[in-house]
Amino acid sequence: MSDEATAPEILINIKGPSELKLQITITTDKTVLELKQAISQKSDVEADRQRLIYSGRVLKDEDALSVYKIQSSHTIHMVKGAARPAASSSQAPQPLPTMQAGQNPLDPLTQLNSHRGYGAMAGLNPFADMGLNPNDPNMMQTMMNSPQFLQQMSNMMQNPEVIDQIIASNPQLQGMGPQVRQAFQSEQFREIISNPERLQQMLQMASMFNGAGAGAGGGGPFGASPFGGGGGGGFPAPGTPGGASTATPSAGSAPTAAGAPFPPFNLFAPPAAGGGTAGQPPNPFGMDPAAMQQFMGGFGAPAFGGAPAAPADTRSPEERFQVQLQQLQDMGFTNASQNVRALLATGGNVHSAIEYILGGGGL
Amino acid sequence: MAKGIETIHYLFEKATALIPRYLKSVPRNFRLLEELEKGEKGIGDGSCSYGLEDSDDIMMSSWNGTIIGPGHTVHENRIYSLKITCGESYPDAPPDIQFISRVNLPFVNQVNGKVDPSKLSILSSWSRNSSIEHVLVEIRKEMASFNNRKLPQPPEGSTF
Repeated sequence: MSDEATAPEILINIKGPSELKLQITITTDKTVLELKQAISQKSDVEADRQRLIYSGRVLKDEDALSVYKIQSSHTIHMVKGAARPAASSSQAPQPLPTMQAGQNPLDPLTQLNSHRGYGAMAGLNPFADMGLNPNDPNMMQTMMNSPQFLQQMSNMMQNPEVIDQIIASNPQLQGMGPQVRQAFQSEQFREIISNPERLQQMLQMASMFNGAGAGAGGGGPFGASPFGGGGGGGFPAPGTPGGASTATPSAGSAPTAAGAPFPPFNLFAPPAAGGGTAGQPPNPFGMDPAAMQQFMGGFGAPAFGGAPAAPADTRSPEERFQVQLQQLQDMGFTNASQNVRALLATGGNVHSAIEYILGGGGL
Repeated sequence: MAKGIETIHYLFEKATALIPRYLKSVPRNFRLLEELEKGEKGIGDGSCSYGLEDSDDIMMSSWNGTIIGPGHTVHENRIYSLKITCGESYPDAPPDIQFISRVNLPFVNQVNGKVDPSKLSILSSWSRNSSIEHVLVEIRKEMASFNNRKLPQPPEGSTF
């Protein structure tokens, strides 16, 4: 240890046989053997009869305490064994677990996923109990309203590594080549994505959009996630033939986007498809959030209004989820009202509903 | 231009699709953090101990465990080391348990030390309320059970 002089001093609790409890102050550059000697001075157990266990490991005499990363106020258990040198069963050194793919400790996404992210995430998790359910729409709501989350999200989007990860995870994006990164690096996009308020607006729109989609029974396992409701195609990219063909006819029939000062699809469709104000090149980056909201409103309605399952919206949830409710009943979930709430929350996905119920949701 | 928008949509969709993934790991990691703290603080009588194999393991998957052989049995004064692996779906799914120290017990595979989950009730009828500590305590109870307390054991200190 090069920092021997500054090795931190820690206070370790020792629990031994017959209610023996000791507190030892020691620096972490000391070896296990030295700790044992310190213990033997305070108890009647000689060092060579002590076997020390910390965090599921038998401590080896020759190791420095720092090897085991013992921290102040942690407890070491002491067992009295037969006197013999090197009592420990020379546990084979285990290789460090290999990093999982995409688990880069420098990557904020990973940090969010890891226990280290909790510092940052603590504020937004009112569902600290284990019943936390990603399918709970309130969860999403809470997240959207949480500045910490939005901050994290925007930090995430600013990190080129995350972008690389996102791109790498999607073959379609990979296929698009450098344009993807270009788009990401565009100032305007950055502005949208890195501004928590903008992001929140987008997420709200997304949930609005998703709300329209839920009636179609599409709600995948991530029913509450923005764009997740309709699965991969839930958010068809305008400009693709499919997207444009549904979009163009509905542009006229988008009264849901009440008071739209201009056809909402002009924002996104190529000028040719959009018609109308074709002379004015669309500037999606400069759009104001209100316009985008109108777009989303207009978009969500026709896209799902035309879906066969959409009339279901007018039926009661009991009717709509008749099959799923029966399934839940058959599986032994007998609380009918909880079942209904669970199905509503998960867009009719039985699997997610079960997770939701088991997580204590809908009570 | 349209291409750019398309791209943004994909990216945003992709990014938001990642949210549930990390949300899903929140309960798991919270749970494991709690267990980690409990293990480090040494709550309990010390007959079982456990902790992260590598404290830098961000997924908190690989754990060490020790069981101190119960008194008045063939296991007395022995310290058994185990490897515990909490998969992605822990605590919904039980952890994998593998003995590092050689031990002769009916539910331990004598070739590789793996605990057969179907032969240990806490694993076969796993409840998400069960923890690593519960598993270790249960295994220790099994060691002290009438059928297992006198089973001939391999020499102390040998490993699988």
